[in-house]
Amino acid sequence: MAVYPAWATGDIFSASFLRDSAPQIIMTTTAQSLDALDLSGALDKELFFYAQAGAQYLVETYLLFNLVTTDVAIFVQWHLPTGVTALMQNLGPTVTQANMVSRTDTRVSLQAGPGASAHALNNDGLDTAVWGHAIFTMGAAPGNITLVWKPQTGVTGTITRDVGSVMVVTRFA
Amino acid sequence: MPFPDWRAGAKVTPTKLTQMQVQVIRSNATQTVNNSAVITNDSELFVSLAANAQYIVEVHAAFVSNTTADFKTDWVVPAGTTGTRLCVGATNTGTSYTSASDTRARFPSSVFSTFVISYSGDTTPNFIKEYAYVTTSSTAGTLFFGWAQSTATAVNTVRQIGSYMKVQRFS
Repeated sequence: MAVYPAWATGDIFSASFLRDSAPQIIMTTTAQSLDALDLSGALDKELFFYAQAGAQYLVETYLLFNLVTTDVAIFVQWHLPTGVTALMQNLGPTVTQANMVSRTDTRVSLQAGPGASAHALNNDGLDTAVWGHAIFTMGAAPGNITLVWKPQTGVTGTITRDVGSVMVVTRFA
Repeated sequence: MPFPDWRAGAKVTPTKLTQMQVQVIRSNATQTVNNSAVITNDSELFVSLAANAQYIVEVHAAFVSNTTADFKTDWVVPAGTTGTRLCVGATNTGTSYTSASDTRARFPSSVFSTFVISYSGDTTPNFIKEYAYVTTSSTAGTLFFGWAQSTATAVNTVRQIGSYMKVQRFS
């Protein structure tokens, strides 16, 4: 059974065991903005967690992005410690401009791939929702797993990850 | 409704503590179907269900296929189990599908073991999300995520590593 911690008769209720048995929920309290011409990407200042070596985590993200310029792409990926393997899945508006009319009328992106590779998603100038799921298997190195986002090449304006974006982290091994 | 229903004086047991936890079943290896449209139980994405219990079960699975074979899904549940799958994935209308990053989507539902749900497949991974409220009868057993090619084709349709099932018991 893939749960963590794995309880056994005689286990002591340590603070760390009890903490580990509850999902972490991180909700952003401050908007974070980036000049859209900065293509290096932003390590999110709130959407990260410390991952233990050898552990496995499920991370669910509910993100709100706002880019003043409409109909442009936002790239989402993860910054990972060495040795992490991951599968990332994101559901949001299509990256194809012609098929993105608005956040209420659009084709979608259903991409899946490794967490360290970016997925492109669209935006209509208002807070646009992106739902994500990622599974991380840690290697021998612990460290922070951090959401990274950046704009499409050539876009101008300000890209903002808004208040109320949420990350739910469940350790399961 | 939380489960177990803790009361003052109740004995804390490993079983009860485990039942409180969210289970995540992650696939550690790919699984391949070639030239078959017969629903096959996933080799890793399955879970044991207790009798007379209720669960929320989610499946998030990524597939590589092609635009001829595509893929389809179903859930196999113990006798008497009831529930409805709520599904999100790429449209099964070939002309409305362009790629994993640009497609119409479908949002169907299906009672267990009644309807399979078909999706467009691609040579790059795209994913499906399926969610169900599951109520078991007096029969315990195993819930399997099942899948196949929509059209039997001599190509590999591959369920990807890292696909997962999330299970929470609540009654």
